[in-house]
Amino acid sequence: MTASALTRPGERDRLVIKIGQIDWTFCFLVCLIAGMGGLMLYSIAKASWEPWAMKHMTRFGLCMALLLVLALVDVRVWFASAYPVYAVAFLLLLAVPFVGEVSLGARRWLNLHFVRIQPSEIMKIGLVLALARFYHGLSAAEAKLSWKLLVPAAMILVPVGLVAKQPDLGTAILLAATGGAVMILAGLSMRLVAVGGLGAVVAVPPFVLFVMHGYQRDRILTFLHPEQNPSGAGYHILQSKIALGSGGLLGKGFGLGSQSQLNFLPEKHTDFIFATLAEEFGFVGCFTILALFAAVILIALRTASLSHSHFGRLAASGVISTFALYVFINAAMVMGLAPVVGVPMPLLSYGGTVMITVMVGFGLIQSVRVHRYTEVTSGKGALV
Amino acid sequence: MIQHDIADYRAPGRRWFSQVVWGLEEAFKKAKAADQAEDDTRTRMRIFILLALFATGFGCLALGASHSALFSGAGKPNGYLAPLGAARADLTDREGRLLAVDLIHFGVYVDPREIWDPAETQRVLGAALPGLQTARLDKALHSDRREYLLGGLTPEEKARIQDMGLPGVSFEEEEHRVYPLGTSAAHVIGFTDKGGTGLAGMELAFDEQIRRQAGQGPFATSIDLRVQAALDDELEKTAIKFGVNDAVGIVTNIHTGEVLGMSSWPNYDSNVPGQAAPYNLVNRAAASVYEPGSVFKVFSMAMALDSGSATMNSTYNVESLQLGNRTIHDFHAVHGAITLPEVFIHSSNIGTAKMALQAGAPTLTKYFKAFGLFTPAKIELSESARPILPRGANWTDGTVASTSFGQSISVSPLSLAQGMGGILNGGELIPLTLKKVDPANRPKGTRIVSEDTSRKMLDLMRLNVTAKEGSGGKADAPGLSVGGKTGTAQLVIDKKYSKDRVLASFAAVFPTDGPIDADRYFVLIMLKDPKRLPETFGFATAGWNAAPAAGRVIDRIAPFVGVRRAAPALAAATPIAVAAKPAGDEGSLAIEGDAQ
Repeated sequence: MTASALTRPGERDRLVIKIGQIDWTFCFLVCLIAGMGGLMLYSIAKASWEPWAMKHMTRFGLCMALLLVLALVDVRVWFASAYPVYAVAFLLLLAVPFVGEVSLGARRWLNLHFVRIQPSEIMKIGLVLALARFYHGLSAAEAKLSWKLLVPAAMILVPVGLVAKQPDLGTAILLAATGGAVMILAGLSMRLVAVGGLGAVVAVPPFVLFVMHGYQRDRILTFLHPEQNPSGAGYHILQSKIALGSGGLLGKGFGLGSQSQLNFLPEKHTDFIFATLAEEFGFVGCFTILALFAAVILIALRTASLSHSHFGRLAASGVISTFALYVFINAAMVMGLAPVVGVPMPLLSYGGTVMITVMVGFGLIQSVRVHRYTEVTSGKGALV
Repeated sequence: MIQHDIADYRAPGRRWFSQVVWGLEEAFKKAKAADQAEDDTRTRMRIFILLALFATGFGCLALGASHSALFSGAGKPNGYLAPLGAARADLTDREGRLLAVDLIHFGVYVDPREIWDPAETQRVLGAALPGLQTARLDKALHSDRREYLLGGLTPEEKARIQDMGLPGVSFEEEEHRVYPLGTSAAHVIGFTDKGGTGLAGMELAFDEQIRRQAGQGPFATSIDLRVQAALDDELEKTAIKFGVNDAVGIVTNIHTGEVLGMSSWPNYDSNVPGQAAPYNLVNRAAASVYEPGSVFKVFSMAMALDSGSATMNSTYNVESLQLGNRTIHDFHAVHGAITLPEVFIHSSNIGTAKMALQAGAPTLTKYFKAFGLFTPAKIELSESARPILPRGANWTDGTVASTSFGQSISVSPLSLAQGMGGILNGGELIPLTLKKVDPANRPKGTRIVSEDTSRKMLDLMRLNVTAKEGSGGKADAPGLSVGGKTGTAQLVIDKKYSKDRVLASFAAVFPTDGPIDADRYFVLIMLKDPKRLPETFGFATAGWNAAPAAGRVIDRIAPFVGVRRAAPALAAATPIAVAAKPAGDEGSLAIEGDAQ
């Protein structure tokens, strides 16, 4: 196939051509990361596919299929569904306090009887889509600084407030950071960004002291001095640090991490799976997985910058920002560089909701890639 | 500019990276070429900034990972964060038989946020867990997070509580140290605290290694469980029979320094050390010092023979010895002059004192120091006690005389085992060890006496058992050519040497025959304040209690350590001839006429 063939009108809409346009390197790297997760879950369960590894890999297989299907969905369909998805997620979030299920002390789940969903996860995709769509119709000057920016600010802050109330501090931080990232990407005044950053730094101590739940505050304060409370709130961090430290250069070997195998490490299969990996595969293992994540992020950002549509660029870079924040927050938390806020390591940690969110996001990125030359018109597009 | 950089990245390993950079650059150029709207380019620019930010983020993570994995002390032995409930390797004896093992038990937790009925939970849990303090349960139930209640639940106990189906009550597996032998070898094994930190015995001595070896196979000790069991059994029987205060038994391999058995009575159960009386917790073999009495003559005699100040034919007039205003007595007076072997088997204090005085204080202290008597016995146990030595560096004649027969100096039983092992193994002092020693790699010791002296001491020890007048006759075991020395030291009661209460010891070695480097074992039995029984004709001397106990131990353990019994006639042969003398009594009791 030559480049000239692709320029023929309608050629790019053929399914077989679309499939060829999917970034298979990207998909392969994603499979490697998820495979590594499966391997660790197998190890933690004392060399058993039950109860985690098999489910993890099955889920990943289904999600991969979903990714490929979504990659073929026209980017204009994504564009058109941006506000509806946001609206649905918003309504579900509103419903959680009234009909949500309590699990582990927080009300985060909606039981739709055939499936239990976490509206905050849908919101992660919905927010990126809606913001990208909003900015798509905005001029550069307006995106820089104008009263119209109150709309995206509200679009971000209201769901963040709702999620923080559940309480789910980790997701709230992710949502806020992702929204902020999209606003900056869209061209927010750098001066405003600097002022906002400064304001946030000033606002943190009062927020920690007056707004947070007791356990959240404990975690933040414990993060600063884990040794003061080794059996209470500092336990997670200390055990995680021990796991990382005991791995050394090459690790203790597959299935031989005593911290994780002997249950000293809490949440070893979810939030702290990175510590397990560090213990069993050491520094080399850590570095490999971080390199894989970095490669995925780099490729996705490049995909974003290649898109011809403003919507595509913002949506793809917004989604990958969420993903990168997951990785940063989780890795920093496990290393004791950030407070424990309950953010899993995407694709590595056990847990279906996050995997679906991440893989749907990747589907969107691939859709942006496949349809990178597609013109997306503001307002009433060709499809709506 | 970037173009220029690419020129530097021609190396094959960097080709991938340069391609990525080139690709991004291409994207920018394309954007420009297409003459897109201003915001397009700006967004691309900002994506590039985001990329740079992420790259910085990953750089920080990489630094963090390097620090945590490679340079932080956490999780490393001696790290600033020692594991809370560290898993420990199993402890085994030299043949792999279990001494201590980590078993999975369960800790019970409550999470008040999930509890429906706090009052009911409190009532049921309180009834089901009698070991749980009410205040603690109360506090946990009013907490705002999941709290630890109680640990060490057996699987049955856990199942019983789990069956009650209390919401908010959950369990976590935890390691729990179990000592399947209970009281056997309790002192030498020691115990750990609930967090899995060694507090006594080998658990303390090898704490770091035991943790490091967790999950990598058992930790082999020098103990032979069969020897230990025989020693424990005989020591306890003897201790009860003679109503002693406390008793010590030690068995070592004198060529390797390995401790095969170490026993202290009264004992305790390593599983529940908290329930034992503090007195019972002391490992008297290591942590107590005693004035050992006449067993010390082994050291004095080895000193005299090796320094050349005496020979096997030296004679001593043992009728009396006056030192200043102090008269030294023998337990059973012998008239006239006797030879060195006779001094040994009659356990003559006068003879030994004269021998030591001839050698002189500098020689005596030089040898005693070499025998390791001036420092704690070298062994991994941190309990190993420091000796109590006579004051001053320059010993007076009185001190030389007293120490020569084991008074005015207090050493731990392990020190006796270490020093005598060195004298009897060919003349090299070898540190004692509780680690299994590879027979191919026998440790090299420090020479303390010549091989010839060592041989002579073995013969003297044997003579003391075979000779009619010898004090160790009751220690003999058929065909094992046992040698040994008794010691009956007066106990100090109210700062004075008691007239009738003694420490009875027997230091034995077997077999005494065979080449100097043949396998040879040392056995020490010490009984503090044994009672006088009708069957011992009212004697409390070592020949009547410690010696027979040592003999029975040797008789039982010989097959385990692989010592073959010789035909009785051969074993009875002795290389030293002794002139018949008036029958001496068993052992010797050093009586200080006018004690200081």
